Amino acid sequence: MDGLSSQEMMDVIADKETMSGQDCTQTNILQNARPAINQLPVELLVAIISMAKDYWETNPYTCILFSGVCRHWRSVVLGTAAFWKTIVMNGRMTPDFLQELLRRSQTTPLEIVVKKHVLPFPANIIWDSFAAVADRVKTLNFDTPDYVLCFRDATSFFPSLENLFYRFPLPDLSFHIPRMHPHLTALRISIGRLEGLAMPGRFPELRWLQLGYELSIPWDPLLKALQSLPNLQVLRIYPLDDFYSRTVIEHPIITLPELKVLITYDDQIIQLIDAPKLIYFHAENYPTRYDNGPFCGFNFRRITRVNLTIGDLSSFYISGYSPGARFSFYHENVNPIFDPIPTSYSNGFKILLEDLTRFDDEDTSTGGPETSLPVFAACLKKTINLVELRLSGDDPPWRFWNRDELNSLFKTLKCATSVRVLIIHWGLSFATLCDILSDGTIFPYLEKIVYFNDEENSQDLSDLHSPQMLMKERFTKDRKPLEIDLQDFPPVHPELLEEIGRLGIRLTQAKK
Amino acid sequence: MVILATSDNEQFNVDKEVAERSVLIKNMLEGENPIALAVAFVYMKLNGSFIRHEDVGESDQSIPLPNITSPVLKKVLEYCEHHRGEPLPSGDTDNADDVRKRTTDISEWDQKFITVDQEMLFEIILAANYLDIKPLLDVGCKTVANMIKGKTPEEIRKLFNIVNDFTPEEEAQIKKENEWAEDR
Repeated sequence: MDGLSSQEMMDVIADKETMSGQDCTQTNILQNARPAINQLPVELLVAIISMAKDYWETNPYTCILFSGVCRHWRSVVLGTAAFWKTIVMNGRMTPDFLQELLRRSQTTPLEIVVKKHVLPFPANIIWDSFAAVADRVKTLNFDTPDYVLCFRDATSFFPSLENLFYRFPLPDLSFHIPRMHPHLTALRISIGRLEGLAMPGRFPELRWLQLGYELSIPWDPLLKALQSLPNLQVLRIYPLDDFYSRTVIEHPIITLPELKVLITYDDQIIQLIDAPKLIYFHAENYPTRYDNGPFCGFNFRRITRVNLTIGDLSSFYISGYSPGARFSFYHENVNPIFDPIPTSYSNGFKILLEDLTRFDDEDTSTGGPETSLPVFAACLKKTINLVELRLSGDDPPWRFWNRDELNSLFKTLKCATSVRVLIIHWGLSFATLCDILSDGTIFPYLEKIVYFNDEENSQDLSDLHSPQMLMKERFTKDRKPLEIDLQDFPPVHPELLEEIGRLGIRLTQAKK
Repeated sequence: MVILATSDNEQFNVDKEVAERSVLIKNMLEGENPIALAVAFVYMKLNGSFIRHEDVGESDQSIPLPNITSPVLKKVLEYCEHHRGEPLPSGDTDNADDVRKRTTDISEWDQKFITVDQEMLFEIILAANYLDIKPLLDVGCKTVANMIKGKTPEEIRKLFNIVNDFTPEEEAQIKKENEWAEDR
């Protein structure tokens, strides 16, 4: 093909209709070397097919469709072992197809998925077919218990098995893994008895443990299992339904030195685990009916460094945390303390700091109001879509915060550029507010301030009677017209209103 | 500034930061790619100029790109300029997250950028592969993948001007295999 010029190629193609069927095929092969996609290096065509193949994630054999485009594509698809690494035992599997898949997968590691279908041939054929490739099987994934007996003692039959998933109730794990398995790194069981798992030393390399449970979390074997898995990095514990365990467990702290990911909603787990390397926590499937209940929350008092990703909760609070705890919040769907209710101002998050009362939980051992302010500050400094900032609520924790520190915090909030409305029930002195407004980089797009009279800022507001409080030159510089709504204050002196009006500020007052 | 010379003898003056979006050029400028340097050396000799190791990266010497034409390089540089300053991908791109990201994400600007005719699309892919610009290569491959997603073999043939070169026997075999690909 490389030796042909374009003209020669065209001549060959022009003659194809006069050729025999076989010659015609040869001509077509030559012609198929011309399209730009067929001139790509093979590894790029493989990459493209891989990306397109993911379109049908549920069926690993869709690459077969691409093998029907032309001979070049077929040779690429059939020659790429990675396309054939997943073997799904389903209703249409045949012994011939199985052998073909094993041949095409060459020497690549295999994943076997046993689907909920009646195999149209005797089950022992499965056993015999995989015996020759037992060393290559790294993942065994049961969607059904129908054929699980074929793989009894699976880890012995597949000596290199690394991942074992049972997606159905498993009566007894020790029946399927009766002895030590040094290579198993991931074990996922929809529902199962864990006695076998809890035997020390059985799974020295286990790094990923995923457990479901019904009715009641199997605490005793679970805790024993956790103690026997020092290399665990990912732990996911979830109920079959939205049953929530409220049993208070008295148990010594279990240290999981390598745990990085914890997915659960059971705060008992969090209280029992010491995970110094935890970087991801996901509150999964949290039952919404508990949103405002006494159990809605997580106690991180044993965990000192947490990067939280909260995916499924509409609200979230932390009931306690270690002294010096460092929290970083990220939101997938919602931010933990931000209520995702679109405001009338724009599509942004509305921060309801009433939620912060939940930081001030009395049952916390070491946390409390004295450390809430830094956590609040850390959260607030990460906001980028904040539209309305409100310090409000009954008996809020910021009553116990250091007022000077809170004022300092607001002066450093240069990132909150999206805030349009500031509602202050308590805590921010009016003097500080004026300072903030005099700095164009803090809340630069502020449109409205609703400022309530609390017991402490009454003194501040006495300054309102001296117009110089608002007469700073920079006060209105580069700012949008501002509205200040004073709530529960004595009437402002008419002369002051006039002065304020000259500054472009519209001052409104609700009568006390 | 770096001067890049295309196969049709056009020269492009490019900011070093922009040119270094290409790992190939970056390594050449840092003297870490002796093979590319040797190719450049031969090319320059053949074109009557001379290039010394220490000259690569100097402003008065050009880096030859014999596999790339000027219209393609212009497009590639447009991409590099737009993404200037963004972190370069790490060498380890084999994990599942990266793969998934490659298969799902394509930014609005990139989509607009890559809306070109098929010939230019594949030229860009080849150039990105040669210059070792992984993000651009991903955008190109993803675009082609999107073009073939959900299409039948016949539709793919039509799209790329491919002809059916199977014998009837092979077609029968493929038809039989296609049954395996059906969802069940």
